[in-house]
Amino acid sequence: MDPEGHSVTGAPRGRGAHDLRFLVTFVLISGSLCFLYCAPWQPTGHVAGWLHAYLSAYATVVASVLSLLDPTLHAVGTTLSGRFSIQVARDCDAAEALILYGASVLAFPAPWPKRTAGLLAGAAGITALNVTRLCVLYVVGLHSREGFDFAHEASPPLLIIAVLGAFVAWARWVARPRPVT
Amino acid sequence: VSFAPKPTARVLLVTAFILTVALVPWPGLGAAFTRAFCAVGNAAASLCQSHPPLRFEFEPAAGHSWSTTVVVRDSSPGGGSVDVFNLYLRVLVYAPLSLFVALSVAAAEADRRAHARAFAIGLAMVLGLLGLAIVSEVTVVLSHVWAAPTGAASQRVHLVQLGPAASWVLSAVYRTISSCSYVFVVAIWAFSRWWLAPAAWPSAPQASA
Repeated sequence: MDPEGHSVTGAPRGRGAHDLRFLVTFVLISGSLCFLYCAPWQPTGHVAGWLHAYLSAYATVVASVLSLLDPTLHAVGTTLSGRFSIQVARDCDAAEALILYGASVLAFPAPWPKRTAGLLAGAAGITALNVTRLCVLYVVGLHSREGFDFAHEASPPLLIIAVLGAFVAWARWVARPRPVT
Repeated sequence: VSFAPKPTARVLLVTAFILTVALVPWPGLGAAFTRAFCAVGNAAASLCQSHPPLRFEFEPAAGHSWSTTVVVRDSSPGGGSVDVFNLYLRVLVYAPLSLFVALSVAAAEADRRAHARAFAIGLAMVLGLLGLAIVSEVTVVLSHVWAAPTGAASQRVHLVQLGPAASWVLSAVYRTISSCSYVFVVAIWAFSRWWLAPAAWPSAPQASA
């Protein structure tokens, strides 16, 4: 630090530590959530049962939307069965995107009401986006297997980029200047 | 105020464009990437293995351009080789690396030297993380192979013996990193930007409720 309060890299004093606290908190929260989600739980245990029920509900929601386009489509457990079949597996539920967004919002220094609003709105938006993604995958799969493979592998990181944009928008909303009354 | 480079919309759009181009299944890309991965992986493995003539190697999988086969090879007389398992590199390694490169290129700063250092350190961290995942999985699978030998190579030496707890932890490490790799890539990218170019970061609000 120089006498004027800047670090050797030019950042004002205190700002770097503040940002580092955000990053460390984010890594701790996201790492813990990722570990809980991905740990090899017993296939017959409670966690696996909850996960299966959650994925089945996901498949049911997607099937109800897609049935408007394809009346033959229905959900059987975690599988969408129609003119093309898709299984909603563990990594298809946008959990990674939800964890990224949730950990970012929780780690960001903001009032709890705004964090809660951000979490609820973000979770709803990400889920809606992912349901749309699964619907698009089904439609693409109806026409092209190669197109399905490409969309299936390219869409998760694109969803992550959308989540980054959502977090930045929320952070700017939180930090916007309050009107003087 | 945000934890992101500005202008954010342009950076995210450019990132999405680069990522989409990178993930197009270009002819020959999978085979070339797999060969490069095997070369690097075998060079790294040769530094770590201390039980000759038994060694494990990465080989391009037959018929799958984006897959590599982990092979246990016994070079002693009468030895053989055992194909242990396949790794699908496109999702496990290539896509996370593409996301990191796309974010780094899209958010390039005017100070190219600082940006290059941040990129190099971030890339090393991403590769280290993915390497940790692969080593964890290889260790777990090899321990299973040696617990139930299936061939000449696996009957000679018990290199890895894991208890249930160690096996569970290593499996969890592999699954956590491989399933949530994009989360960690974004975190590493943000950390590398902050570490070497904090002046480029807008400040977070100082007050918290």
